[in-house]
Amino acid sequence: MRSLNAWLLMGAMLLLGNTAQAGLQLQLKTEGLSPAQQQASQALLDEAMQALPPRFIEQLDRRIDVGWTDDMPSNAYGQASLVSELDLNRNLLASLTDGSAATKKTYRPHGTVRREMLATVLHELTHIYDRSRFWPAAERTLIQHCTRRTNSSGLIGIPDECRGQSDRRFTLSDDPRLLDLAGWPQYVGRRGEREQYNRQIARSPDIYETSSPKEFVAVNMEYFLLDPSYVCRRPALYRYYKEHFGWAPAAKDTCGKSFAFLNAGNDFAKQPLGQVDPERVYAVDYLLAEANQNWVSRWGHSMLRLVICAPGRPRGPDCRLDLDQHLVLSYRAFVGDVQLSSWDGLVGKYPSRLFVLPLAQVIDEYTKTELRSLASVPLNLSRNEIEDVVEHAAEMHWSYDGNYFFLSNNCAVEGLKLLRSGTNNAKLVGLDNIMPNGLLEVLKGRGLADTSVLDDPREALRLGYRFDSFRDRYQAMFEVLKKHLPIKQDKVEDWLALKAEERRQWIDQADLRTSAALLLLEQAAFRQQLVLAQDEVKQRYLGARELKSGGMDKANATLKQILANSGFLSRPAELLGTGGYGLPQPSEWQRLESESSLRQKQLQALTGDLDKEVRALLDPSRAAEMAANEANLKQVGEHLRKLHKAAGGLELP
Amino acid sequence: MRSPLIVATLGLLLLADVTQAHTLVATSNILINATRRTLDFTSDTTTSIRDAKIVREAHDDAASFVASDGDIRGAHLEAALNLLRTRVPEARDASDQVIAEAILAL
Repeated sequence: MRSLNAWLLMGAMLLLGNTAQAGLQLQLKTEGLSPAQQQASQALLDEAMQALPPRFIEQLDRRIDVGWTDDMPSNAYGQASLVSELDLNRNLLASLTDGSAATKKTYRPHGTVRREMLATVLHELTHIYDRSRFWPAAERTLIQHCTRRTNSSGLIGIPDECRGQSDRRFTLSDDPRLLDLAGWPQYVGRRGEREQYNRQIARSPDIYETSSPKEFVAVNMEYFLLDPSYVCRRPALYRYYKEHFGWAPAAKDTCGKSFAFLNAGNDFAKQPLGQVDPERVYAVDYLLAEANQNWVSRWGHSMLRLVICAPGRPRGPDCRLDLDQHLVLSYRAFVGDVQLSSWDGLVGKYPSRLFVLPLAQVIDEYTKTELRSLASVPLNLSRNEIEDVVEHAAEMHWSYDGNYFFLSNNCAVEGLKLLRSGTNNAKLVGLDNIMPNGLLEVLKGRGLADTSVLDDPREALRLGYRFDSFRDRYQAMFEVLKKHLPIKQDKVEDWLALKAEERRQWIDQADLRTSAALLLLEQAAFRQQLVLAQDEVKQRYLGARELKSGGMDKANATLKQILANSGFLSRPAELLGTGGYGLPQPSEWQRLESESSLRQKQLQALTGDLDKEVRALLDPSRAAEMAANEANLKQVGEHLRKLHKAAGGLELP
Repeated sequence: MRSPLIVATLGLLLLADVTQAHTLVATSNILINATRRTLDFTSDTTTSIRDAKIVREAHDDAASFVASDGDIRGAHLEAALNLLRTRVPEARDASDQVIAEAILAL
């Protein structure tokens, strides 16, 4: 009896002893190392152990032998074997031992050679951890459940939560959420299959991360563990690692509240650098430009609208009318109507980037220039989801450089990816629609979009849920004109086809109401002239280019200079140095500000020059008609002001 | 999904080798841009309420409202009405019509 108790006690002690010893151990291979080399190497390993998350050390319960080897490319830092060995490049041992590695700069985000070595140890250990399938209990259950399901009934009809979970082999690098954030989004219509190439290539700390999800996980782990600014530069990934490990490093920067972005608006007179404070974003709308007959516009264009409150206004429905604050997130292919090639669009030759534009400009472009209407439908997102969408949009704005395919990777697909990665909303995971108008239907069907705001067209127009095409307005204006003045024309087209001088005689006879209609119609006529002028300039330009003379040289040179100076607006990362990565931080802010305003000043000057050159290219009769049209506009304006004054109308201060 | 966005076009051109067709788009966009300014009816004087962006951008909506006798009432006008009523004492009790006319006459 006594002896049994003793045995039990001993067994218990052994168990306890084991628990205390469990966890990762890094064992230095000391053969052939001098005492100083051993000491320096051991210090590096100790530091690495201290940087690792407790869960990591606990789960990776094994001894890993670390040694120095010559058998490695000279520029490599290190590599890990499949399970339990880690080799470092012997080239680096001398500088580690004499301490010079700690001061030798690498001009990469880690800073010094010694930090790179530390990062290497963490990087290689992460590969081993990633291969070891250390899933938390709930995740393991889900993976097993999904794998069984797929094995028995295949991918068809797979539940949303199982997308990408069947047959998982890695702790982190094949997690669907990680892939969303990292930049390997789902292909549309392939039941969770991932895209092959990562296009989040700008502002990367180390472009090697985009070579594969495995490297992505390891590279980002380095920064998560070693860089206190990681939380501000890649906030969503920081939260991902933090949640997985249930822990984060103590050293952590305090992040600014707002995100920087470059406003791609066409007003060169304004400083293009802006900020969005997610706190001030009241809602996110799905903004759909309705289709027209132009083949690339046949399914409409989808965008996201950020309903941003004016400074000082508490977040609420009133913010919907702070129209001057609202911004539009739009993925655009860089194509214009003249040279749009369907083949290039189908094979993805056009770069796709996320632009941030002022809402008013987007409304003008669609309703007045393209004569298409816009619908703005609120998305049912939680407060957190809204802020995460804004954050993700900022990350994409700085990092994404994609390819635009009209059919498989168009604005609807890009927008869906942005919403999906931003919110991680379960209802979005299984969405596969690829056409802008279709996407709205699907969002509505899943309860994510509230289209009831469009039910009453007048209210929708008043409150900014709908922006009507000016085609309808011009028609309405013509009817007013027809009613109040004895004009002969029966159709608005006929009225607009008159010479500006012929229309001018009516201006003085018009009352206030009719003058207002005349004003809009003169604008319509002017826009029509512009379209014609564009076409003429285009033809002349082509002709002159072919002749190699034709007086185009000067305009051409100016144009080239503008192009050289404006690239930054479409690739904002170019404005920043190579020292930083991810979202720009306050230390980079100043450079950003001065660089962008400098380039914008040059642009403004050049645009002024080009205006003159291009105007000189107009056919004299076209130029005269446009001048007459402008004179009409001026005259209607004056007439209106005169009537208003005579009637004793309200004068705004 | 055509994009008449000047800078977008320009940006692409820079990267995607300036070809003549590309340059044309930029040219025509610049033309639109240059002439768009003539449609802008703002005065260049002080930064008073009449220069507020919300008010300026409501000009076309105000014209539509006045011409259609209140039938066409766009969001830009709605926003300007709200702003003017809170900022300009004379506008506080004025009717929508009166304020729309005032915006139109700017």
